[in-house]
Order: sequence, then structure tokens, then C-alpha cells
Amino acid sequence: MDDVREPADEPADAADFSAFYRQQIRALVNFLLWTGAGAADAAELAQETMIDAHRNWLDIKCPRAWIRRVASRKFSRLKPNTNTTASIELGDNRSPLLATGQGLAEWEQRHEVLRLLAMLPLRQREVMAWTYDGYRPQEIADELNISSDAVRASLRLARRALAAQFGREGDVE
Amino acid sequence: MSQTHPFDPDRLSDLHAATVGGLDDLLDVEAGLREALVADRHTATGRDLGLDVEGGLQAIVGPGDQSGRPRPPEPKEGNAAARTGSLRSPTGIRSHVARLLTSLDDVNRFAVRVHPALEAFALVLDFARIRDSALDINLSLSAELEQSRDSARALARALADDLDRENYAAFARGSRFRDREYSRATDRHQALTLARALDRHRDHAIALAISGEHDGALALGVACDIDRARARADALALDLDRIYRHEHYDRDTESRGYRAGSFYDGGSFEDDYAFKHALALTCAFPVPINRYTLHLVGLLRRALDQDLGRDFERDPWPGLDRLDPFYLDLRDRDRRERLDLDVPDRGALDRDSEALDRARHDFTTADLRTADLLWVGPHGISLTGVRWSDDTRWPDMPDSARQALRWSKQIGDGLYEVRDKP
Repeated sequence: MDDVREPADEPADAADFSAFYRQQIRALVNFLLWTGAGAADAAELAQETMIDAHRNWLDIKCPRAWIRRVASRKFSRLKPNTNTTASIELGDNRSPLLATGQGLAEWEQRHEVLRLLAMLPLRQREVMAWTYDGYRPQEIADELNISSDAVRASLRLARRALAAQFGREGDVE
Repeated sequence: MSQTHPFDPDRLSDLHAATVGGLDDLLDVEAGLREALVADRHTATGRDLGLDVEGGLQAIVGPGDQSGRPRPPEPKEGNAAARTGSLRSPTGIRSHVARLLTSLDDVNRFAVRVHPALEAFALVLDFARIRDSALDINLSLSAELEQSRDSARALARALADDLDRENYAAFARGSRFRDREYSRATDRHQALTLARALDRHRDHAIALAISGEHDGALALGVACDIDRARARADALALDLDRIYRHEHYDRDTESRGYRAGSFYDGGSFEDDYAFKHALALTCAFPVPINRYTLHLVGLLRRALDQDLGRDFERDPWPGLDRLDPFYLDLRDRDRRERLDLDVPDRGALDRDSEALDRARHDFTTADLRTADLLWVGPHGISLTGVRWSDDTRWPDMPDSARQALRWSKQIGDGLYEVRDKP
């Protein structure tokens, strides 16, 4: 991805971006879900981030990390009362990325782990999201502007908290 | 608790994979991608429609602006700047339209190809080519062709404006358009005026050929070009007619439509003319197409702006004074805002036109199995011009589409082109 790209008005660029979008959009939505966004917000923010990525495609050297960084910031700027699916008016205003505006709450309920993650502090959720997307502690530290020790500590605390929750609630899907 | 439920970090990996996998139920990745590809243009388009017309045009024209109003971001520096800068030239934008179409998947390209705004753009390209041919034959013919081209361009511009505004309005308010009958009358009026003008010019060209005063083959070539363009204008008029037929239609609305047409004939022109046109245009097409429309319309508007600006700067034509205020306003704006003019290049025009033609019609290797052909038919979307082959993969076809394909003519080994008549 560090190669020089074609300019935005070349088909090769569109193809390049399209391949990236198809490969990464699910992972990005999932990243936001694990960061604590509701499904509707996650889809919306992921889509907005991808639009930004397309707009700045020529400048982005590491798009995989870039979209996570930007999406994270977008999520952190969301008002606290808008990060749940129930607060989102879907209908015609939903993101085109969402195949349907129906059944989001049910979908979230099916993935109980998301509810448990939401109980963690934001920093721990962020560290979890980056970690399970394959980033190393030092990389995460650079992204979050904290020390790698702090990353490891957050990760340890998050895992411990989740383990406790798993213990209380039995099997979790 | 951790002793009864030993914690396994790998379990989190499994859960992580499970939530990713579960997203297939929620996401329409292709729809999202389509929006992402057009959204940067959409954003610019929406922004300019939220402003006054002058501000909006400046946002589109950008580099020519000297008024200090906000402009879209400049292209990035370096090599990329030079190449993305090509979008500021008419040739660059024309080429970009074809490239954009080509970059779409087959099904969406197939759906977009019939959009009236795109049809109008192809018409303008045709006129630019015809005009260049005519310059070789007869200057007075050229001047008349210029007038026809102007009409076509005004029509294209109006369509582009309307679609743009409609899309913005739909996004902003979810409202429906008013006075559709008025729109119907004015759209048809423009299209038919264009068709009549083309008729006249075709006659001129043929007369020239017969008189032997000029190169006969060249004149006949021009006549054929004009004929083709006229067919497109007719098709556009039919498109408009068909589209508005989806709306409620009765004797009263027809009457109001004629009155609106007379109003237009008289030269009056409301500022919100463009605002009254195009809900039906967008309603008549499947939703995904509108997303492309947002992108295409932005490009078309810029192309038309630049095309107009170039010609006005190079070759002001006094006959323009006879055109309507809308058009005069366009001229003034273009004069003000266009500075970096492009030298017309006949070869580039031909290439752009051919590229656009390929993008809109070449489906010889396309996989159209998921295309929607329900709208195809004599009163629906036309397949005329579509080139296909034995390798083209079609969906289950309604009778109307099957009939349209039967009217194809073999144009090569295993290659066919759909014609509008058997």
C-alpha cells in the first residue's frame, strides 16, 4: 500500500480503492462495534470514513490503519446519546452500507460479546479493537498516543473484565 | 469464577471473527462502495446546491474563480496534481465520464447508460464533433449547427441542473416536486425544438452535398451525424415523455402543461425553473442509479461549464442574444469564471465520444445476470445501441426485452447491436 498510486481520475485508482473497500469495510465496521459503537453508528461511521479515504486516497500511505484511526476519532466525537441503535432514525436516512434498517437490535443481541465490551472503558475497548484487528502493542501505542506499557495494561484489564463477565454469564457468543 | 470458566484469550479471537462474519447479514458492501465512490462529488454537489447559484457554480468551476468565494479543495501537489488537474479541462472531464462508466460493474453500467443526463451529454459531444466537421464545409452551416449545439447544450445543462437540485432536495427535505406538468411541457418543448433545429440543419447539409459546392462525402457524413444526433434528441424527448407518464396525467394537467409551455415560449423564465423538473427523472430509475447520477451530474455540469466558457471566449456569437435569459445568464457566468481555456482537439473529441459510446453500449463480454430488464420496452428503457455477443450473460428476460434483442443486427462474428426497428 506504500506504492505510489494512480491519481483519483484514473480507473486504476477506483479499482484500487474498490478492492480495499471490499476487503476492509466489514473489518472496519467490526472495529467500531468492538470500540463500542452501535451497529447503525458503526455502519454510518465506517461509510463516512471510507468516503474520506476515497477523497484522500492519493495521500494515504497505510490505509488500513488510517481508516481505523479516522473512524475512532469520528466515534469519539459522537454525542454520548447517539451511540445506540435505538437512537438512530433509520428508514431512508440509513447508510446505504446497511442492507436493511430492520433487525439491528436483534443482530446486536445475537452477539452478546458486544454488550459485554460496551461495559468496558473506552480506552480498553479501543485497545481490544486494535488488538483483535492484528495490531501489536507498540503500533497501538503509536495510534493512541500512549505508551506500549499502557496498551498492555489496558489489554490485560479488558481481558480480565471480560473473563469475569464470561464467568458470570456463562457461554457468550 | 475464572476457575469454573477458565478464560481463553483465543476465545476472544473467535468472538471477534464471529462478529465480523455476522456482518454479512447486515451490510450491503456493494451499495456502500458505490456511495463511497461517488460521495466526494456528491458532497461538492450538495454543498453548492445549498448555496446560491453563483456560489455553487464557483465551487464547481473552482480554479477560474477570482472572487474569493470558498472553493473546493485544490488537487494534491506533485505528480498527482498534474494529473488530477486534468479534470479542470473539458477534455479531462469528458474522458473522466467515460472512465467512470467503464469502472462500474456491468450491471450498473447497463442501468446508468440510459439516464437522460448521460444521453444529453453524449448529444453535446456529438454536436461538438459535428460542428468541427461543418467548419470544413460551410461557415453558415456551422453557425446554424452552433445554434443547434447550443440548444442541445442548454437542454443537457437544464437536465443536469435539475437532477442535481432534485437529488439535493430529496436528500435535504424528502420532498416531492411540484408542477411536474410544467416540467413536462418545458422539457419536451426544448427537446422538440432541438429536434426541429436538427432537421433543418440536416436538410442544409444534404442540400450542400447535392449542389456539389462542397465535398459531397463530407457533407453527407455531416448529414448522417446530424441524423444520428436527431435520433438521440427524439429518444430524449421520448424518454422525458415516458418518465412523466409515470406521474398522474389527465386532461387538466395536460391543459396546464400547455399553458406552461406557452409561458416558456413567451420568454419568461422563473429562477426556480430547474427546481421544478426532475423528481420523475430520478423516480423512474432504480435507486442505485441516482447515486451514480450525483457523480455524473457534477461532472456533466463542469464539462458543460467549461465547454461553454471555451467557446464564448474564443468565438462569441451574437445570435446568443436571442436565447432565453437562462442561457444568457450561463454565458455571463462562464465568461466571468472561465479563465484556463482548453484548445479544442478534434482527435480528443473523437476519442472521448468513442470512449463514451463504448462505455454506454459495449456489453459484449458483460455479465448482466442480475440486471433488471423489467423496464425495457417500447414505452420503457430502450436497449437500442447495446452491443452484445454470444458471451453476454443475460438474466431471465421479460417478453419486452426479448423482443428488443430480436431486433438486433449482426455487426460481426458473434457480435450484435440492438436496433430500434427490426
